[in-house]
Amino acid sequence: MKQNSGTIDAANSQLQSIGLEFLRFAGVVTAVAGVTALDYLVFKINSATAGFTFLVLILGLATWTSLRLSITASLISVAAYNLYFFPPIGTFTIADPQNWVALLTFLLTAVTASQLSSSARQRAEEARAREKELEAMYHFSRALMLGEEGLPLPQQVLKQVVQAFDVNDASFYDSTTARMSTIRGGGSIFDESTMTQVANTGDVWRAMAGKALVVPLKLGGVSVGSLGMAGEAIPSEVAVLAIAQLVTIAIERTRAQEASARVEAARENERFKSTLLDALAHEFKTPLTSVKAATTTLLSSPLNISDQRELVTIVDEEADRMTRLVNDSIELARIGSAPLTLKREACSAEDIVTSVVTTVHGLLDGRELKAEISPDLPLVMVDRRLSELALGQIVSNSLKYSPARSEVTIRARRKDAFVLISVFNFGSGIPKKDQERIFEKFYRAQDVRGRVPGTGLGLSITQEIIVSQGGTVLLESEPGQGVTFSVTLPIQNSSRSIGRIHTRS
Amino acid sequence: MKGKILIVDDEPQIRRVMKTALTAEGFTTAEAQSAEQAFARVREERFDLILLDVNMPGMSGLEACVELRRASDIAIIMLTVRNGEADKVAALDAGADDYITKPFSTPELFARVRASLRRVPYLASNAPAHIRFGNVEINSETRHVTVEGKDVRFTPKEFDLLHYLATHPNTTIPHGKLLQTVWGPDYGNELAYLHVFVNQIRKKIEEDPSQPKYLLTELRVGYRFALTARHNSGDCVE
Repeated sequence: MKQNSGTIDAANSQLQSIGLEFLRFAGVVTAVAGVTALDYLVFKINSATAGFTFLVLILGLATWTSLRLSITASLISVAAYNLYFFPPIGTFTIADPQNWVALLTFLLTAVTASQLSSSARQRAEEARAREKELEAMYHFSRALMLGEEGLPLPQQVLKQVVQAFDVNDASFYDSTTARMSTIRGGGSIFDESTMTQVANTGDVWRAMAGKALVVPLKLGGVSVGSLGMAGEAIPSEVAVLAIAQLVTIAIERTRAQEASARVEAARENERFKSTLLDALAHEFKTPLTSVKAATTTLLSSPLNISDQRELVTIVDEEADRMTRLVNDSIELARIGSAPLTLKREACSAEDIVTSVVTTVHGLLDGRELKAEISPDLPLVMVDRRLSELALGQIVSNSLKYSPARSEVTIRARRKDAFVLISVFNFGSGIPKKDQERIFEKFYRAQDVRGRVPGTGLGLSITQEIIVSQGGTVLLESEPGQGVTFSVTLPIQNSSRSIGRIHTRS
Repeated sequence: MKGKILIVDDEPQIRRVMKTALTAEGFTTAEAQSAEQAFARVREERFDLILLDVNMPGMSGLEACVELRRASDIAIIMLTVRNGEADKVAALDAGADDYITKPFSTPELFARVRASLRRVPYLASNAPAHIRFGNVEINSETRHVTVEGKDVRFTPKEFDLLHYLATHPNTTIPHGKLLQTVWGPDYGNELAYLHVFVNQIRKKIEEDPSQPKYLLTELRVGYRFALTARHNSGDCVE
């Protein structure tokens, strides 16, 4: 069916072009007849002047139409000239041999002038086309260099080619990935074997009388792919080769960017690992010190039963602490080095707060951690384990950075579509310049860096977890007035509970 | 009772274990969670030794040590986490008598505590009660040093080192011998200690510490205390 309609379409267009050609011919005949009538019937001018009027018509046709039409007009004009202006009038016979010379001279002049005028026109047209091509090339190169965020390179190249040039179909073949991309359903024109062949051999492939071209993309003599274009008025082969050069440069640039992004990611990962390791070494040395001191005392000093018990209790507690540390650091490393995956479920905000209070108990050192939980808190839609980790980071931070014996309060209440959990301490406050950066990965406030062990990861991970769940983390602090961290957890079945899903790029 | 020790550490478990261990060893202990608390305790009562943690929130152990040294010559042992040379030197420069790296075994801690509390038994030797050289006068009995008539504060270890060198003048004393005499038999390789302490002493007694006239370095061997008759000016008093 499709093929049939295609044949009919082709036949139709052929008929159309024949009709158009006939109309043009009729127009030329009419124009010559018109000039003849004016000269012979209206102005009744002599043969020499009539010759000039015919020439003017022929030159006009050569300038504004085609060479073919102006030659046709020349021949018809010779006939009309002979018929009406050279005696005997009304016949094609020429009595005077001088008139033969005049007629031949006229024909020669007409044809030569036609050719000259037509070639001048062609040159002007070519120049215009080149100008257009250059302009298109400029726009193309600009668009390609600026690039479009998030669009893969093949799609970008094809989109720009189609936008900048008069191209119907375009295909792009990437040798590195061995993948071909096509735009505007041109798959029937360029098949993968043609594209691969051009990419491999480096020879230009031409088809459809110059209306389809596939050129190689070469970078320093090495083939990196091929680019195909098809359409009624695709750019010249030279232009297509120039486009290919631009595309190659864009490919190279993109590859370089990707490579540097990979290096940057590797470096970041390296930094992450070494910071984590450094912090862990510090964090582990504290319980390790207690354990080592306790065991060496047990082994070397004569002790009474109650001292022995005390030391063994310390060893036991510190072993638990190390277990927690190991679990937490595995968790931190996992979250810190991979995109976050949440398992959200309806759970009790009260349970989360209570569990955090229990977990940080070992850090209290006789200090008071007050928990004020409003009754009837709604269920929250969060990843329970991660939320506990996030809140635990905030509470242990609040304990770590506030004076010994000062009190820390944790408060939970409903606020709109969220459960708001606030943690207050009476620390010296966080300077404004640190407040802005405290949630950044690895950032640690100036005055604690190198003194209080820490990774600079806790708060960045806390924020990532809370924001991923659609909540917010807020920090309020005035110098000397303590610090308040506020965290919101979205409640279940709330229309506002779906927040921005934050993923690390 | 062997001595009274103040434990300054923000980690409650470490304080707990040290308290138990030191008490079992016969020491009396008191605790402070921070440098600020430690200052308060020191003002209230007399301690023989302070165990001071380097890494504490608020005022750091190093700052606290400098502050404590301003007012007292109490023995101070710093507890550090890092084992780098720079950290040790920083601890000694701050005025600590010794340091111990976490984690440590308690026998090692006890040895260092004993060494810091130990005073060189110079009275047993036939040392003179007063030693004078240049503008400096050392009083062996009161453990006081005056420079140009003014009292200059020496930490116990600084005093012991200076005293030992001044009572053994004009002979080169090897590093190991100095360490073992002043710090105790468990020491001998801690050259960093010596460098720091010698520098501190030079700052106090030499006119130009970079070009010492008395406390001279014998490269790669040890130190020599140069006392000539002119320096001595016959002022040595038995």
